Amino acid sequence: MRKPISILISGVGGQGILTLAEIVGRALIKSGYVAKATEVHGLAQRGGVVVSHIKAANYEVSPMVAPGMADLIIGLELIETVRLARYINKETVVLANKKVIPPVLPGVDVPDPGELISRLKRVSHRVYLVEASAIARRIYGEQITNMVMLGALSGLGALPISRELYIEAMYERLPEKYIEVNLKAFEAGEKAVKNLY
Amino acid sequence: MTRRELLGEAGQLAFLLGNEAVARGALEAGMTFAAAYPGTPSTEVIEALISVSREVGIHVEWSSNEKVAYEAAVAASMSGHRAMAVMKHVGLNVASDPFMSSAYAGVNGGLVLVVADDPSMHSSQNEQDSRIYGLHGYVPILEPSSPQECKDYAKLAFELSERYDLPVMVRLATRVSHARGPVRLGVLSRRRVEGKFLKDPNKWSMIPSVARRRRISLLERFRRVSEEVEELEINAIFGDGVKLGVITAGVAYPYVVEAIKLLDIEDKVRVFKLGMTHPLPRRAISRFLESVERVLVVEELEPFLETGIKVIAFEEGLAKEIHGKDLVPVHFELTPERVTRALAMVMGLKPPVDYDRYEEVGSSVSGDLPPRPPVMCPGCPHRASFFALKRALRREGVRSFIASSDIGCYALGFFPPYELADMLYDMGSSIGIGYGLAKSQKEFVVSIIGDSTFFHAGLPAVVNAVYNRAPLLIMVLDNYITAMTGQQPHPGTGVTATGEETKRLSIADVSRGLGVEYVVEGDPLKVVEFQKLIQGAIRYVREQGKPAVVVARSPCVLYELRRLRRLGVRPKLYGVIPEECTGCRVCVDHFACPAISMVGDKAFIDPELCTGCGACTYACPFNAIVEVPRP
Repeated sequence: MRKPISILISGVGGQGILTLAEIVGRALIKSGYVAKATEVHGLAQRGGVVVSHIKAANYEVSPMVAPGMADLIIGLELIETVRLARYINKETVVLANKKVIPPVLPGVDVPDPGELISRLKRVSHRVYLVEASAIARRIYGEQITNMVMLGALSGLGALPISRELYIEAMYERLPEKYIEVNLKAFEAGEKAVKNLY
Repeated sequence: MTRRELLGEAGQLAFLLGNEAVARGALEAGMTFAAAYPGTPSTEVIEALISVSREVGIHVEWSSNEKVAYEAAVAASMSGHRAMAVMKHVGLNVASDPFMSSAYAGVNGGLVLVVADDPSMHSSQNEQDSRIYGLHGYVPILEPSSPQECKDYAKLAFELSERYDLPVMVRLATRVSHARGPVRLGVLSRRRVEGKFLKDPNKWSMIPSVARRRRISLLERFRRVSEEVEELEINAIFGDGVKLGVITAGVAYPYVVEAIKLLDIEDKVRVFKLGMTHPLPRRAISRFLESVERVLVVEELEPFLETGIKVIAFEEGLAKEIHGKDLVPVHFELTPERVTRALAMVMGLKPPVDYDRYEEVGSSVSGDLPPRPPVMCPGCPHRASFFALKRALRREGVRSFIASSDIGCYALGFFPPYELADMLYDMGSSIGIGYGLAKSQKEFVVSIIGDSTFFHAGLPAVVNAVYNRAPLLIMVLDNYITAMTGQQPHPGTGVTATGEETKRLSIADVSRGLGVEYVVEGDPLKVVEFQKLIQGAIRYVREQGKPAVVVARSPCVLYELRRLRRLGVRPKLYGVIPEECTGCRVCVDHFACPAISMVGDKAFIDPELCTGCGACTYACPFNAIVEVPRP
């Protein structure tokens, strides 16, 4: 393969983006790829932008994704998903959580979800939306939104990773006592995305 | 989990951060002493070692600064330990004094300096290429390009250090330190050292007569490395194309590999990947230059390899077209598009993707989105300190003043509405520069510095301000830990890196000990009382013309919330009484906590964000903010 699989995961600090990225990276390695994951974020404070770059190929990949080269965007927050527009091409799969977290700025105009979604549809034909935060809240709390998204990713089949290997990677990465609730989140994500077909 | 993988079996495939892989490599080498000061992107090396230190029985510490960390590691090497010092690029500036002497003296146990550069300045005040220190100090440099090489080179560094009687630098950069990738684990060393120092002042004591001999010896030891680097296996050539030769190392290497694949030019290119970038293998490079039509040097930051290679080409009489920083920008991190463009350009090809078009479309779609700039967390005590400071200055009739800031979360005071960072250079500079301003012009000066930074490099500047007598208000924001790098303990915390209880140094006591005669401390979350403390200090500074220290003591809110969670205590919650709120916006515009916003013409506190610090109750001029029950 020449072009590496290129994935971006974005959201706001505290949404569990790095954990999600690590699980996807582990699952890629289990699937036989040389995978690399790196994150871009500001200072160690809450509420900042977090973007994780993941790449995989059969050779030593570089850590960052180039403009127009994303195969997959996983957005845990809509503003931060749209902010990645420069990485998206028409064929990029955009899997986004239907959730807006307003930036904490006085007097800021927060775009509404519908408007943000139509912006995404301008750049990609393949936009999939999941109410991941709402689903997570129903099961346990918003802390597990990231695993709802992982389940949605598995259900969508957007990456050459089997369901079993996603779950194996979850077991490897998550504390044992939280596995059960995270598996529930995963399954709910899978189901949510099935309804989109 | 990472911790389990750090101590995993030989042969196991782990998924480690570059920094964690360095830690594993050190454990495979039998390293038994590690010292560091936290700094992005280097911090996780020591954090990984801390997580296993007890189990494997090694010494790991957060030192008070990088100079002391490096000196501690030097001493452990003298005593026969394999020892390591870890820091970010600017930390090496602080440690540069012992660093320069350490190559003169050499080592007993292997001595490794791990230094992580931060190109693009994600969390730094400048960009520096640490390799230039290696050049300056005659210290060999290894540059890993992946987590696997981080592990392998860290281990190799100890072996080379002992072989050549020289410290060895392992140079990392953000995309090596903070990239997670597969690592095939090797065998953990069981080597443990008691530590025994054998006197040899002719090796270790740099009095001029000894230093002169060691200088000659250093040049000889380094010459031996220069000779043997020709055979070093980690310097390897890939491919056999002749149109273009690419010389690269470290973080740049995978970008080159990928660009060659994308441009489909594998048969036209050959790549010389240098694992050791100082000294350069002169003969191998000469042969490589001769074997290709033209050369492109790809490296992050300065033209370090490029300059060395051009010198070799000149001295060997090789008239070769050598490109480097003319095609790969010197500033900021490399990216796949930067490197792909450079390779395309030198090969006369078009890049495989029209990056510019995507940038354009991207900015048209997302350019007008509201930004999400870094802000101080809800409940951060620095906000309360800033609010109290500005009010105290106003009350004392100080209309204009200069705020000299420092390295830490409180640098966010740069932004409105606080605007309390008129200058910011380096660790401890708030006091050194604040002192100079107080001596060289008339406006009132306040130095703003954090607790860890105060211990790191603030102390000598306090001494100077006392000694040379400057009218300077020094405000120390003591949140009990090194917050910005992820909450590491420091000399004012009362625990060591590995969790043992120890003496807690009081900043107030230390300041008094340094000769400051006016020292007060208080809780900034009790805004009014704290403001009065500051007012007293302002009057003292203006009347006496001497420095005063105000210590704002309140824990980092993230640290405090974690403590409360462990105790099973829910944080308090505050709310606005709508009938009392006049919509004056003081809480939103001047206190500016992210939890507070205007909903219609009334202030509203978001219960999801409020941490219950209560400081805003003092900010509200109409007492409209009160504690409310958590739903």
